[in-house]
Amino acid sequence: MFSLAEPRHGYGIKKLNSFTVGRIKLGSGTIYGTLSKMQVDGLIDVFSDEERKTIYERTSTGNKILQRAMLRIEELYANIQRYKEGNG
Amino acid sequence: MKKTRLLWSYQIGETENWLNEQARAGYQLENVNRLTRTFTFKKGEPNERRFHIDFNNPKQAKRLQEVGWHNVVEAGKWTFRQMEEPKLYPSRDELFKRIQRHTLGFGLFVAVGFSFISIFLTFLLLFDTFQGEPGLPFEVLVIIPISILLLPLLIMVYALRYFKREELKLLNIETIAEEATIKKFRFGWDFDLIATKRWLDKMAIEGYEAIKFTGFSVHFKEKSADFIDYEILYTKKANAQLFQFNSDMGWQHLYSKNSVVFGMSIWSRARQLGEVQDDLLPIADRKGMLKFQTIVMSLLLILISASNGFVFYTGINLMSMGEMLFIFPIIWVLNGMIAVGGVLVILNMWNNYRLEISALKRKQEEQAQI
Repeated sequence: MFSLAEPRHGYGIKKLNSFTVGRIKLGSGTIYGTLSKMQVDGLIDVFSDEERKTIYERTSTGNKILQRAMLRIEELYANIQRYKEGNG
Repeated sequence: MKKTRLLWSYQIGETENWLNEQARAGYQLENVNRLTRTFTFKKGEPNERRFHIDFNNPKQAKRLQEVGWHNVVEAGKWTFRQMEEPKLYPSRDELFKRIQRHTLGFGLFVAVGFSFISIFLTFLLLFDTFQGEPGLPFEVLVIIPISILLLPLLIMVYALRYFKREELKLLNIETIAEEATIKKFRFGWDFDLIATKRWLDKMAIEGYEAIKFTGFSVHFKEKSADFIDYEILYTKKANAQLFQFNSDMGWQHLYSKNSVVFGMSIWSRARQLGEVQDDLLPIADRKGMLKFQTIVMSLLLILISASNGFVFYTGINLMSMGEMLFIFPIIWVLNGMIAVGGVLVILNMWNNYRLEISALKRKQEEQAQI
């Protein structure tokens, strides 16, 4: 979801593997599976560009879900910080 | 001004370019008549706006308006939109599905027509024979029906090729234009696709890369990279997004087929030493599809084997009944060979299926360890 901060091609998403310092290496098949699942759920929508390459774009529902996921992770992070301080 | 374009809805790209030219010459689209395939234009100011023809896509209408497209003409499920320097276009998924539907519909139409004509001709023949009089001459009885049957078949082959070409053009997927260095005859390569894939891998090791598949043969050229990876995808229905996605990811479309029960497509990707191998499908999906394909093809083969075996059996029994044209025993022997061949292919197919599944399992275990 993060990787679709702006509308992107499938190939663009794949190159973003560097996002996780190489921890996650995704094959085309996995990316396609995830994208089509998100499309069915209405989180993203599919368009194409001038060269008729597919572009994936986040919908407003997708944005809402991402916000919520970020809040959850922030909460988790805050908990980790508190835990570290408690033990440190 | 009115202009007619009979096949506009199958040549979307060409039609859009044509509309753009009209707009540049100062003719603005006013109306589209779907029945008479006629476009009505009004003389106005020349403009540089681009046309886009959309089919059955109400879901994206709002977003497209936001981006700056405005509707010029709406006719049935069709929307003709226009915009200056567009960056975002609607996806072609529905259009692709439409072409697929029409290919199938046309195929069925010809098949049903074909059966009716054959039944009619058979009755005519029977009727003529039972009258006992010297009826129509032999040439007329054989040649005319055959030519009548051949005509729709030819039309169908042509139409299917036309649809396929337009389909790939719609998705902007390029075919390889290079000349083949060798052509290998391989009868029935599309029956046992696992075996075909193994064979392709072997050919790649020997230095050849597949570029084209025909009914009975595969064309190769000298390979363009250290490794050539092949993927055969089985899909229950064709999918514009999947095709476009694969092509965006650097996979070359080699062949695809869509029938009522299943569709399949063959893809290849050149890879240099040291590059990571790319997967087109997660392993979990792949297993299910392999099973599906193997079962469907086996059932088809069982049907072919059984019917040919039956004809062979009846034919051999008929032979003792008296004189007949020499051609019949030859045909029956061929039926018998097809029946036996079919059974052998089925056995081989299941053996390959077993091997492939265990290879996939190993791969999955390896991935789990990482």
